[in-house]
Amino acid sequence: MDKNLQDIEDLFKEALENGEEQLPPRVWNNIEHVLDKDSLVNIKKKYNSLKKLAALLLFLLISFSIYELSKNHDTGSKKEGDVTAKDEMLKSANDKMTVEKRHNNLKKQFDPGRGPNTINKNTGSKNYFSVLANQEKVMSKNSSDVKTTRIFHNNYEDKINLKKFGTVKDEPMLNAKDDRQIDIQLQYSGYLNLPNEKISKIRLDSIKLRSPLALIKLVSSADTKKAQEKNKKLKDRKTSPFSATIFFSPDLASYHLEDDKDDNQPDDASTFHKKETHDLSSTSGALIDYKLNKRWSLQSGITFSNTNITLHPKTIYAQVDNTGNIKYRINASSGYGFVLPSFSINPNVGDSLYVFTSTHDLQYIGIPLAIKYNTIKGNFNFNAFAGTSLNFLIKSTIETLVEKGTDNEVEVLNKLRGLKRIYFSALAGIGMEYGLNRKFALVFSPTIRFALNSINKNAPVKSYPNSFGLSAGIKMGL
Amino acid sequence: MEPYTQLIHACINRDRYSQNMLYKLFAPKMFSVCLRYSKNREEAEEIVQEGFVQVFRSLHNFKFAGSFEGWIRKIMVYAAIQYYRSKSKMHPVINIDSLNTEETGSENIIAQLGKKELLKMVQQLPTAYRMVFNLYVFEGMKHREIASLLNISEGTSKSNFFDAKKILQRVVTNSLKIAKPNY
Repeated sequence: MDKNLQDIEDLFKEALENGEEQLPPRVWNNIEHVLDKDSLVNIKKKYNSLKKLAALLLFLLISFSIYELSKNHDTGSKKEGDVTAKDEMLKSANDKMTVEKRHNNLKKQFDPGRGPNTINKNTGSKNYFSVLANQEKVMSKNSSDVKTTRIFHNNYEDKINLKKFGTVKDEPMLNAKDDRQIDIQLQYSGYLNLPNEKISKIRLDSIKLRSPLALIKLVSSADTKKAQEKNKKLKDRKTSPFSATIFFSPDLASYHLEDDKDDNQPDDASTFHKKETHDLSSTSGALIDYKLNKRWSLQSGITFSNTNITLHPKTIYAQVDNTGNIKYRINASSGYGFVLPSFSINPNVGDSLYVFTSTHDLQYIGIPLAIKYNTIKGNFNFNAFAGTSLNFLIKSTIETLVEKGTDNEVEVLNKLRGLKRIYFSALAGIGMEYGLNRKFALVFSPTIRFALNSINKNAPVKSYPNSFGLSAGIKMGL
Repeated sequence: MEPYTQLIHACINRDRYSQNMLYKLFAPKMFSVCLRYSKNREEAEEIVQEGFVQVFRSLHNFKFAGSFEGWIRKIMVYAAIQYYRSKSKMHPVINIDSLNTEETGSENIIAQLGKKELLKMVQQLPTAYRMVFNLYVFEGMKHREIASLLNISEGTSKSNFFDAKKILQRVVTNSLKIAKPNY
């Protein structure tokens, strides 16, 4: 065999190593198609991540709401009772003697051998004076539903819960002798259901009984049935700081356009103002309010906005697109796209087509965050709010009719180029809520929204959409 | 510094124009590579297509350490192997002994045959032989590496390479005599 044939691999390597072959255009088209699909999958993945995040936030929100509700359930409501209790306590306190006078009396009563100056309140002196001192705090403060009265006693130790008038937990422990102090939790609202004279008895007489057990018995002897009824009413009045609102808002949309100097397209802002008309758009969504205090609350949630724009008939021209192919370019205020009607397969740059009225649709998912100031007048809650929103593009289409003699062709652009995936907007408005009952309220709220940055880049113009909407919805306390 | 750094970064950011640029830069060379691994142009186009999709998908993994062209080429080769792995098993179905063997005394054998003809000869090799021949000759891989890559034994790799050579020798001989190979 010839030597060349023996080392035939070298001959093949030499001949075929550095070859180049041209590919048909369909290969790139197929690759582009796959990459487009990949982009869609990536977007879906991103949305899935957002969905997961939203679900997690919702879960945390619900968990927190349940925690808050259960906390309120345990401690009872105080809102409307607070003022009355405070007043009654103060009245009771003023009826006979000042707090200081009572302190002195008690000091004499329980420790007659010692003068007033010998008692050290700050160090928690171990006598019944501490009970009174703490109870006075209970009566003069409204910071929480349950107050712990600490009795310093030499013989008992346990935490006794006096919820619902004398429900004593671990009563056997009460008899266990120990040299440590004892804590008694008194349900603040419980006092409200006792006649004034009993309040004073609790405060004064119980202290004379040298046993916490006597104090418990005294409270237990109250009219529990009546008290429980009142308690129930009070509990019913308690509200969660969370509320949810579902709303729909027809919007009057418009935009502010700025010429993009980097773009060489003939269409400018004034052209688009003349050749585009906004149709009725809408925003809908679900919002969660978190009440920070009586006046202020935070609002967030999710919104879906749909903006419709009509593009007036115009002539479009063939240009080289991003992939080097020649297609007809349609410009809109928010972006652009290329179409290649079936009847115009190989256009030259500069060739023109006439397109009839086109419809342009933009859809966004928004995550707003706003702060709200509330003023309550009877069943009405008037509020004003302001905030910002992060908006994610989910759809951008142009549907147009291209002229082809007597037989026209519909072209649909499903993804406009030049649009940013995310933009920020600000929102502000005033609102009115009418409470139907303790759970539900009707909501009416005129709102303005305006973009903080342009929704597009590398497009003929920079577009800043804004809208005025009249949202109506229903609000539900959680 | 990799000369295509900017282009690569733009492609990582899914800039379609840059992706097209990158494709236009490397597609002709890669198509030539894929043609050697495939039976015909159509299959080579499919391999190139799949290869470039993989390139764009895994571009963020490129470390800018070696030759970018070499990195793309490697992806194309893997795409070719994967293509035939998914199509059918790469077992040769040819009887080497049945091939006509005639010697030639020509000193400039390859020069007498065109590149297209030589490519066609490689393409006509059974898939398993073609893979081993390409990996050994053009990619410079050892039989151990080829065996590991194709999931065959080292002995099989050597045997396939030997058989591929034998076929090519006979086909070249026949071609020089303007005779069709009879397999």
